[in-house]
Amino acid sequence: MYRWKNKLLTGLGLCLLFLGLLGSFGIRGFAAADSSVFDSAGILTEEEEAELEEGCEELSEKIQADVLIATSEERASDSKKEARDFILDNGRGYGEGQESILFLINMEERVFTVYEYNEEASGYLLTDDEIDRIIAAVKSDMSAGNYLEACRTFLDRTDHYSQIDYGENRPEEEDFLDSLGIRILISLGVSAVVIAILVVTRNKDAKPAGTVYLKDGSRRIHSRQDFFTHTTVVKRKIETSSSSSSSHGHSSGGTRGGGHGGSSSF
Amino acid sequence: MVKNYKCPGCGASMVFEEGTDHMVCPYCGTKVSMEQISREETTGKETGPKGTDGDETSGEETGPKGTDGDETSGENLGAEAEAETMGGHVRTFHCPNCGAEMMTDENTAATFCSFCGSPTLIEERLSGILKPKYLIPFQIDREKAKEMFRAWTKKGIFTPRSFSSASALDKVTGMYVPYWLYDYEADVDLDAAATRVRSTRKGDTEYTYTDHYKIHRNLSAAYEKVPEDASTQMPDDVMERLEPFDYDQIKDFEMPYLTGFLAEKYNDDQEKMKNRAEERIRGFAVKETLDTIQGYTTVTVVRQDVSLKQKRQDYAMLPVWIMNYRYRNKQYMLMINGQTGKMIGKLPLDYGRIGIGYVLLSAVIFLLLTLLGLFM
Repeated sequence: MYRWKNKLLTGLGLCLLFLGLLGSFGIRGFAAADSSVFDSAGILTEEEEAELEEGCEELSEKIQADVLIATSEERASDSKKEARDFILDNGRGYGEGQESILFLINMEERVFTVYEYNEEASGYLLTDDEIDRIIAAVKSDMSAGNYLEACRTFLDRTDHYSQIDYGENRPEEEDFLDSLGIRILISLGVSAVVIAILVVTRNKDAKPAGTVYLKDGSRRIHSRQDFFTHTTVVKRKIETSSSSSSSHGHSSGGTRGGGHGGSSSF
Repeated sequence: MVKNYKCPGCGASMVFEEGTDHMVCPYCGTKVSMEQISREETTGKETGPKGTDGDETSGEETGPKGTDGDETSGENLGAEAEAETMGGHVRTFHCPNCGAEMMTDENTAATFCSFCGSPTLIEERLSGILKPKYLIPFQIDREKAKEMFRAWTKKGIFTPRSFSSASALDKVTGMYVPYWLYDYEADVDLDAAATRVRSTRKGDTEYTYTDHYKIHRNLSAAYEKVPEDASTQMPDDVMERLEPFDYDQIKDFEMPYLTGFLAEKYNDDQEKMKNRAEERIRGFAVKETLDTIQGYTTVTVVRQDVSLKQKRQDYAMLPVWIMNYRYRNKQYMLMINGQTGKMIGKLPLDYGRIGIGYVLLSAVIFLLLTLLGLFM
């Protein structure tokens, strides 16, 4: 009996140790689970987590995408990469296309990200503009520390925008320079300026500088005073770009698929 | 009173040879150095080309705008003729070489006889208060100027290809343009407000610090021989762009240098051009002062007092080639600094080439943007 008790305690201890090790790997360690909410930063109560969990699962079924909410306290210089890595490292995704939409709150960087990933790097449920709108919609709650409300808004807006069927009129999501019209306009505009400068300056000959007539050794500075008077300071909040699209069709670490997203500080 | 310089060998009219220091007879090739001419004119000896002593009035002298009344009393070794006034601005002379009647405007100081082509100087317009103090001789000869014109017609990507072959040089004129050369001392007292901007980032907040400074400078500088063209016929702006002239080659004025070229006496007097010179020198001095304020992001002049003190002014003749040419029935003009070769002129435009250039450049930029987009 004593031996059996010892084995039980040892087994429990190993389980606790294993769980502790898993915990030490941070949110990624848990991500493989079926859960849709990963509050590594501990900003949500259990009830709030449960509510959001339910909301994520319902929306996932509805729009056929793995809708996720995660928080972290890790340092991350690139928020979109962090979001993408979270999805890929934990093998998340809905169906064969691994469609995923993640709302990631990084408390360390005080940056939140909305990121959509799928295997095909195309046919996204959300457009870049819609991601921007979701970010704009949740920003005030994020800034006020109403994280639950922000997550609710995320789910609500994601639900709304992912239901919009653009049909053939779905806006193209492309880089600024991907637009043929923009490229043509830039080319014509820059060329016009360059040609105009060449035409205007072709007959212009510089007038001689005053130094040509300056008598050698005649230049004397009699008084030279530079007084510091005061300093003025202007503070500006740096908005992390919420425009997306830079990761379209981009592979990471040899993995297929692509994603797009946007971030903002709060 | 008009004069020219006769060749001691054959008696033909001699001319100054550009880029040299002598006169040459275009017929027999006899050369006589300027030094010899000067010496003989001073002593009145008649072994060299015939010349005359001018009235050695310094160019520094100021006075009313020149009149033709200040006759020289020196020995008249060249042929001379009676001058008659026709109307208000045209005067007639008799060519000292062939005796034909020559008509000049009131400003011409050196010209050619329309009949025999003999270079002729109107002495009364080059003596007394009208005698220049300095002169820079032509260093670029007529053939070189023509070559430069031809090379210039091929210049520029928007210049019509046919311009080089189809343009016709109507007239190539070597001209000594009258200039006033001003010497000034400038004193600048200047206050300015300057800023130096730096920024740092803390978290998601950018702090921009602007340091404000009050600047004061007091600087003095002297400017020498700032030229202002003294001919109303010459556009001041174009003449300013023909500068600078190299004053290392400046010489005391000698009339023989003018032979073979056109020359005008000044008709913008020194007082009139002084304002323009002072405006330029004021600009030079302020720029010189501002150049001492370095290392700031912005500099705004709050107050500037520039006091100018004129040290001297001299009358000088500076060399310019003027080329009149036609292209597609339009008249153009090119000016060449007769000393340094600097050219000022307006090249015609080929709108077809501009269009092609525009399309090609647009295509290249479009291609670059496309490639850039692929790698972004």
